[in-house]
Amino acid sequence: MTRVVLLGSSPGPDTAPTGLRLAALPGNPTVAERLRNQVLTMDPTPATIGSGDVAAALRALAEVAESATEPLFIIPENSVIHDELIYQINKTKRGALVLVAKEPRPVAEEEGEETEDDQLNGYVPIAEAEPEIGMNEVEGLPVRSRIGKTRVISVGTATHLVTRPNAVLLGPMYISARNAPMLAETCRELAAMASAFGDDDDLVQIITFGLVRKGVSVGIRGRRDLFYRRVTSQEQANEAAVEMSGFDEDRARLNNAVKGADGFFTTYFVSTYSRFIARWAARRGLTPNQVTLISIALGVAAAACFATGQRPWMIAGGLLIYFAFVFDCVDGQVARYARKFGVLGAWLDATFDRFKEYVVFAGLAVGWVVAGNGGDDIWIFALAALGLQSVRHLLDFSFGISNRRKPPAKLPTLALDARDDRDLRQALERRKVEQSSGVKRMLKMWSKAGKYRAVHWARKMIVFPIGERFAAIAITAALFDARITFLTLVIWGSVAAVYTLTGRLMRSLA
Amino acid sequence: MITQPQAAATPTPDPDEERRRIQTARLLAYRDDGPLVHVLSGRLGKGLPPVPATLAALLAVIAVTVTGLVQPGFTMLLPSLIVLLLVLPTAPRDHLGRFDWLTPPLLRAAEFLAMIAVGLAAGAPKWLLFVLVYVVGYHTYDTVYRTRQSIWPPAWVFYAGLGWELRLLIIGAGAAFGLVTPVLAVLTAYLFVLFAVESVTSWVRLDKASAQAAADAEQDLEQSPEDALEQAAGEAEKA
Repeated sequence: MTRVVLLGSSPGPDTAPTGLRLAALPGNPTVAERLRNQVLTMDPTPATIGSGDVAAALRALAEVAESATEPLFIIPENSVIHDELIYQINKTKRGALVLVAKEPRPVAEEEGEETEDDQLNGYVPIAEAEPEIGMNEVEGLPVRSRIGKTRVISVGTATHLVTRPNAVLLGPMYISARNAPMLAETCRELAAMASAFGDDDDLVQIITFGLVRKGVSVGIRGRRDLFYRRVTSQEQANEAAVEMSGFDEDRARLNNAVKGADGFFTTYFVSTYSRFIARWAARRGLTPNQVTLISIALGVAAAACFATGQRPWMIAGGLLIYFAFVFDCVDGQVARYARKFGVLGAWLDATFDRFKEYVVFAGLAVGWVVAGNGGDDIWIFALAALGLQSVRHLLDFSFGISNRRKPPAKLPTLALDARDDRDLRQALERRKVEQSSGVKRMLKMWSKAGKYRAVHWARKMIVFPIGERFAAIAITAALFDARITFLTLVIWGSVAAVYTLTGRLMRSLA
Repeated sequence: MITQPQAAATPTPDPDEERRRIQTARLLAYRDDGPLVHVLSGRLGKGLPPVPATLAALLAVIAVTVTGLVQPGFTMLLPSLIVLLLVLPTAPRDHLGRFDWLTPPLLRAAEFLAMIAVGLAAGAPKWLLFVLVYVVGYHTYDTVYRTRQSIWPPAWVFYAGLGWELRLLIIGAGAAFGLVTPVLAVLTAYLFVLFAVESVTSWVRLDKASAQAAADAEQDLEQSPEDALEQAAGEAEKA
């Protein structure tokens, strides 16, 4: 469960959202009624922070955070937002997350191409930029936040200067249970210095200002394909309702169910359409575990086909193993789309992925012997493929553990009363320099090279992920024979093992 | 021996410390040490550094296999004894070193290789070896996939599964006495039934709702992927 905190309109034009009606929506609800209904399943009795006095609001928020044992979801009461966006924000694995919108950049006139964020921006490089009080506005909020690629770098207020502000914090905010005590402490300190904030400073912006200066890593995400807006007048509420109806929320939910960062084969030959099978399955009421069972049945059928050792059946086996993999992707998508997660489902999926792959090895080896291609030495190939893949998996799992053992890197902090963020930026710069020595520098260059598509996909393919493995089995078994399949698996797998091991040894050294 | 990490004595353990403790317990569980290691590890003193010793064991098994030293008779015990002699003394170590994550994969590689080398040299049915490697591999995968969700297999499974050391000894001894096929068959069948029955009964008995809640709570202890990536690479790929 999550503790939901509704913020009364914070400093700025105050219109009680109770009076604003969303006439375009069924039931003609007020903005506040709709939001309360949306968060009902998360928290039947959300905490409400009154509008008006900033210090009082901050103290009230501190009290809620102090008593919270679950994660916090903070959202202004006058928000018009998609259910799916609330869900996605609360699904984050980060310790803190805010919804942001970037300020549209003034177009540099002489150069047509977009420049990198931290480089020339049309004017001075950021390293020489002077901290300022942001006075631009985006969606009624002052642009006083500097965001990087993944997190909020620095936030200012009416009396705190920020270097090159580039975004606004729209309102919704997630704080993990672990960070709740820090939020409480920060809010108390902020309440004590409330006179430093201006009338146009937003409450979420003030909280984030405090958290960032205290060294909390506050992640960011944009609205992407979903709708969010704060409304302060009936006119805006009408506009928002119309605009929101132009979004396909179900499609956004479906797209979000597809896991990103997959391999090349999965991305281009499975994920392009697997989501529609997932939606179809979810609407038919199939559970993720039932889809897993379909996938297992297809895998076993493929192994049985391969075990005949005859060409037509080998081709059928290749097709079946491909669809076994498609349904393997679909089960996770159904789980995410239908929001049906379970410990058993996760275990079944992972365990039977391995089973499907290895039972196909056995089927191929049996087929080779049955077809009279010679003795049972093919089993040695099968053993090599099985042993190599098992050990390669264990390398991944064990390295994952060593990564999780490392304490998280501490971010630099800055006193709440420091007038500008120069010290913070310098500390970040120093950290960057320290981290870019020797091996770390090489690793960083290597990860930066991923921005080129060819490098990105080549790196994904060389590690021989599951999609590539199933595709390799399907194609080589259908066109050639079991020996070629095992040789492909062993050679590609060995290259992958050497490649990943090199990278990981270097990361362990760094 | 591998058991669910007990709740620390202090009421509010440091989250970083807590995470390190749990993750190290998982790493040790991946080694799949059995009863013999458990009995001996207290009496081995300081022990050997795990990665060099396990790597040496793997290379030595490769060497005796390639040079054809494993012949019918008591040399069949050679690969098993090499692995035992070199890897047993690594058990008392805490596995906190920066390269110690290599130990479980190296150990599993040495175990599989020794099994296959002995089995092939003794003329065991190759398909039976395939099934045995899968069954042992299944146990490791199972440990990984359960602990990933903060569900720990009961400690007795690791004992009853005999651990890498007893499995290797049994196969080596069976081959030395010319009984490799029946020994492999019985061992494979026993482990298959053990792991299969234990998995099914555990999942049937588990209170899945509270397990899910516990797994979610533990998520909070883990670093987010973005944070981890940011740390490893200096910056994450996208927001």
